[in-house]
Amino acid sequence: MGIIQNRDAQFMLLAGFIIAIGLVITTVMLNSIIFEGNMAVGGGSELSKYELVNMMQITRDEIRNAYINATLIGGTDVTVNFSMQMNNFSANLPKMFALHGGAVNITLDIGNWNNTRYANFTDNGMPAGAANWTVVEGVNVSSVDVFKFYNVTKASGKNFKIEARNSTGSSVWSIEFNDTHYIVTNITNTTNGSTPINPLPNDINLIDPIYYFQSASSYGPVSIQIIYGNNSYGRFKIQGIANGKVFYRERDYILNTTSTFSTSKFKINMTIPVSVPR
Amino acid sequence: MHIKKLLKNEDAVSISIGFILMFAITTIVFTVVIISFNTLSQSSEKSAMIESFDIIGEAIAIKIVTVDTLINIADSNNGSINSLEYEFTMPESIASKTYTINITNSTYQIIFESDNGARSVTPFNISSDLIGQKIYSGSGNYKLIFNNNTKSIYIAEQ
Repeated sequence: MGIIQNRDAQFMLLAGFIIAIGLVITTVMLNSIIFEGNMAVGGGSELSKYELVNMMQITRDEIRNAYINATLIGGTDVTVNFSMQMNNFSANLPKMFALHGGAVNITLDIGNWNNTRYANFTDNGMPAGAANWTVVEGVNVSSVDVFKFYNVTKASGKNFKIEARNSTGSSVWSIEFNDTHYIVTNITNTTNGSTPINPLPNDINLIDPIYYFQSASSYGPVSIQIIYGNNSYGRFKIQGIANGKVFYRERDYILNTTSTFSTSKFKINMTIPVSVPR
Repeated sequence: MHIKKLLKNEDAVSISIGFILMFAITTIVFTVVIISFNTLSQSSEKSAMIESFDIIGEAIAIKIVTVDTLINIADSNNGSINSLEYEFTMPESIASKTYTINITNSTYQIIFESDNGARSVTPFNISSDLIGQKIYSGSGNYKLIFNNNTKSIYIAEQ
């Protein structure tokens, strides 16, 4: 009774205080609700570029490995053995990418190989590739045990040149093929050999002393360049030690692989040329 | 004693004046609360729109840059992209308001604008050609498409 009749207003103050706090809390909550209610952002995961790069890389590696395996075995079923390994890979790749929510399909065009259409001596093996390019740098000349160009065909009226340059970029050795001659030039600018050749020999073994490549060994590490690579096509193989490590540079054909990759929101179809064997 | 007397003194307590005062104060307080709430609501709408614009703009920029990166990756591998499509979805309205998106190829920006003054700019940087386009909200689904013939990226409505 005493409390009810007490007019000192403690309860009124308390009630007012509680209402004020409630009002603040309600306002803050309403503000958050209004803000969130107005947001309009759709969810969804973004495509990983690295998955595609990974797919390209493993496809390239697999093609090269399959080519090396098939050509090592040799015989008449070289392309059959190659296709068997690639078919196995093509069948398993979609299973790997299915785990990431993507569908993959790979097709391979080995028409260049079947029809013995060799790659150009450009940087990427394509006719439109860079004609003047560096094959390998830091080569120890005396360590080079394979330096061959096979099945070479040169365009008539055009020259094709292979050159070794020292660390300052100066030519220390070169061999240039024209329609009738090859011309070897060393650091002393002496033409050591200009044997008439007609036609250009199909197989050129530059380790042969008649080409004087080993004469460049006294000038330190060299970079091996191809000049006017767009004027000729064929195969090459260079093997030795560069910068203290064994290197292989080898190209026979360009095989085109077409890959499709798709997710619910993304689709790509691309063709990548792969230089084989490596 | 004077204070105690004053507190107990009920001479100034009039039911009519008390009611009028109570009514007036309640009305004023209620009006102030309503106006504040309305202002708060509008402010929240605008903030929410700008926030949404930023998030959507960044998502579109990431997609455009992804397409550009893939074009460059194919190019660096001497390959070619025969077809490339990347779908993205735009909300028909944000905070119940329509808006425009201007994807520019001169300054490489994604500019969002709405009637209530909400504006957001998301920059991006690509090396491929992009055909700029203005998009009006309401359509929903769009695609980033790479045109292999013109070697350019454009946006098409689905």
